[in-house]
Amino acid sequence: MSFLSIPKDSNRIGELVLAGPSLALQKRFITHICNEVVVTNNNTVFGRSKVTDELQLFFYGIGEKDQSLEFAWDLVAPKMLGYILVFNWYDGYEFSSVQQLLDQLSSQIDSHGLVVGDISEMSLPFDPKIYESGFTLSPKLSFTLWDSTLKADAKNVLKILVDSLINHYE
Amino acid sequence: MIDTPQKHTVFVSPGMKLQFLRYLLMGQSPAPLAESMQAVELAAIYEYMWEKALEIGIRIKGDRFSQADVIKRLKSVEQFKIEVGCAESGRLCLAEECFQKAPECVKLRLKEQFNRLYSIVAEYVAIDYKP
Repeated sequence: MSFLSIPKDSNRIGELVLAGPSLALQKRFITHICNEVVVTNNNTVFGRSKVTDELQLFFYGIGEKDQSLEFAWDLVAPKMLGYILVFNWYDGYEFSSVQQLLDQLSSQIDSHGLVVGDISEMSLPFDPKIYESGFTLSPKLSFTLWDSTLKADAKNVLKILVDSLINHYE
Repeated sequence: MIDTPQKHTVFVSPGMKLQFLRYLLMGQSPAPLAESMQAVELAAIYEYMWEKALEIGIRIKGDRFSQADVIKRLKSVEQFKIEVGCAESGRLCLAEECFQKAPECVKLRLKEQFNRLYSIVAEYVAIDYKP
């Protein structure tokens, strides 16, 4: 997974994988977070975010459902920081797809994961503080909602995943 | 169980937990999900949703949140036992033997509690609840 060029001053790279039924949502998330985004011709999205001179985050949007299921999770999982599953919160079909993918991944790999429902289609009638710190599904899995049109929401999603990682190693 | 859930060790998949959470945040009754589940699975998911309901209550109400207020609005053990004609002695409900001897009674109890719990959370988050 070294699609993007790695500058000489970068020592550490953290890799995160995005999956789910919508490549457009994966791309939107990566675009909000990354300084550099590349869309390939085989329906995948790559992004790089420089945190410091010594630390970068690489994001890999691996495309839609079938590709997610066929993805070599067993090979990638030991090296990645975690995965993010994005879907349209209001779409029952997308929800079922993510539910299936989540159960499959959680039974196959022991990585940190975050499920994220996009609410940009219609705002929710309740206070964001209900969900903005996420809900744990298991010690390594969480769930939250986000408005995919908002950059701040994408950063909050990343914060929840990073919090989960930090809490695990504390 | 008196009013709050017992601990059950049965595994509930994260996908199932996610589905119950989705119904909760959309103000929908989880009854259709509960129908196809075993009593012991339903008890385990109830434990999980009980915790999430408390979390939501705390997130919304902060220091003003009271777990006792939630418990008061759930159906009491005594009331349920009278309604179903349970002859078991003591204040226990959903005892281990109930899962063996009367799983449908356990499910009925849990479905009623789910309905009340979801209704309370809907009120907290100010959404309509569709029982």
